[in-house]
Amino acid sequence: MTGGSIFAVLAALSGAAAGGYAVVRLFAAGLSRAEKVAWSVACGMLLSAGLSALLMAAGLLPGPKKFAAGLLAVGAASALALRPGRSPASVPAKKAAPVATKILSAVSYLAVALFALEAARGGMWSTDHVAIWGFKAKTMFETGTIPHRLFDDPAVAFSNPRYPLLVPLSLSSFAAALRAWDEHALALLYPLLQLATVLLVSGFLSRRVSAVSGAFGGLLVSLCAGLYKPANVGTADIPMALGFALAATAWLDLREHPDSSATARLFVGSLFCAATKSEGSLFVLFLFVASVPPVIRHRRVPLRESVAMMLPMALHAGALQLIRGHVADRAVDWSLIFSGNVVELLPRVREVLARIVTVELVAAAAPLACLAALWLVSARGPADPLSGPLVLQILAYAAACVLSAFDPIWQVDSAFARITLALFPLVALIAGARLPALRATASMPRS
Amino acid sequence: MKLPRRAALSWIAASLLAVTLLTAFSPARIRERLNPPGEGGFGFDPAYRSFLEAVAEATPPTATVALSVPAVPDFYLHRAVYRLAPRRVVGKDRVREAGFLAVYSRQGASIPPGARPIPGGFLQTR
Repeated sequence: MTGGSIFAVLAALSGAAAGGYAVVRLFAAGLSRAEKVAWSVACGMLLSAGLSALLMAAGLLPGPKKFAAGLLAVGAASALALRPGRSPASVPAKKAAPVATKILSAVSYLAVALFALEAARGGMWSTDHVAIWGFKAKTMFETGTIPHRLFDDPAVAFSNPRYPLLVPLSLSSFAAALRAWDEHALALLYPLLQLATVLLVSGFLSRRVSAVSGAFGGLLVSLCAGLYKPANVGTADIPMALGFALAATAWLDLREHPDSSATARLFVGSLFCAATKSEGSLFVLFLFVASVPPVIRHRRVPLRESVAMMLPMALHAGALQLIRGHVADRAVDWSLIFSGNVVELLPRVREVLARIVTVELVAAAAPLACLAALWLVSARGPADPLSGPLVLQILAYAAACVLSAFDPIWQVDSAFARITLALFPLVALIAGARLPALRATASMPRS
Repeated sequence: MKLPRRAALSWIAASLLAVTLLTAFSPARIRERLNPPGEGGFGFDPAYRSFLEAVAEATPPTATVALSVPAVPDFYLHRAVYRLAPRRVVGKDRVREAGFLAVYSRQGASIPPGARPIPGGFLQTR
């Protein structure tokens, strides 16, 4: 990796984020500056991937000039569009940050900087990167197309052809902007996604709870070394963590203030989740399920929730179907349920639960004990409604191990902790939102 | 600054949570993280990288390459598919679909007539 390639990738990532901001400004009413940066990074990633897919569908080779033209067009369209006014959940009046907040934020940024150095030096090399995400991205970049053999060639069936394409399309579009497949330069996307997740969690908590809770939530996210580690660079777990946080914060905002800005953000967050991994769609589905009872209690049709959560999932599923056609699900053995094969199913359930409890829970015993203590001693917080979808998501991961077409124990050992850790920003949101304001910030509004 | 008891307990629990996460940031761990082994995912067999680079140099990007590599661990196949992309890579059982056969052997395979020796094995044009 040369200085030139670092400069080029930083320019490409900044350009994408600037294009993302042109979209975000249309629904950023009431967001803090940190949240706007996070949403801009996410929208920039969606825009780059979408632009890349469109260019390839039109038979054009993606490149830096075409990306710049596309992003400028988005910017021009945004400038012409009307900017919505501030929502009732607007940012509180600016106050000098307390010392504790500054220290916690500084430590968060140091952790992000450490991960950036680590990612740039190590590059993208993990098995999941080379076998799934990187293989697809590099093939798209080198051919300038989305070859159908990525989905129907039995020789690469191990690459999970059913997976969504946001990550491969993003990596290939940034490589096209660099005009080179530089594993070390492209790896810098991952610390940027970590930074976006830290800013999103801290910005949301600062706005809804207190500045110091925000800084603490951001700190928790940045210190999650099991998620932000070299083996996850080049894969979909770090983008998925951002996706979960985007959908979760927009969902909490929509519950509090059901306005058009929050609805638009939840639409984008749901799209980001669905386009990143199948787990993302599942999470949005659980959020939708958790939204329905209060809506029914108020005797109204869940129209806003459906538009914000189910429509992006349906649009994404339709687009994926157009690109790749039907691909059989080889990872799950549905016959265990539909053939009534209870004799085999029950021992699997026991085996998987025993493995999770004796290996995964034991490994995470200390932080889990602290979380349990925090839950017991603290008062309810505004992010508590996320607890239901979070628990359902973890149970679904355990169920996926039980129903795996492969050895269920291997599935627990190789995937359970990794995919569960992508949910950590939600834990940080719930924990941070239960922290009471320190006296110096006690006048901050708590919604 | 005095906090109510419940608030203080909440912050103590939260601080302990942060401390458990901070254990991954000890000076030794940070040194380790900043000095990766540099094997780029080829730690299981460093010589395999040179073999793949030689195959990539000798075959056009549009080629289909059949590979004869150890079946276990599956890292061999995964690294090849990634390193050789956008070439199509198939197993040796589908050699009839391929324009090239690349054979990797740590023990040193005997090179058949017409095949080109490359680091770690040979490449045969079909």
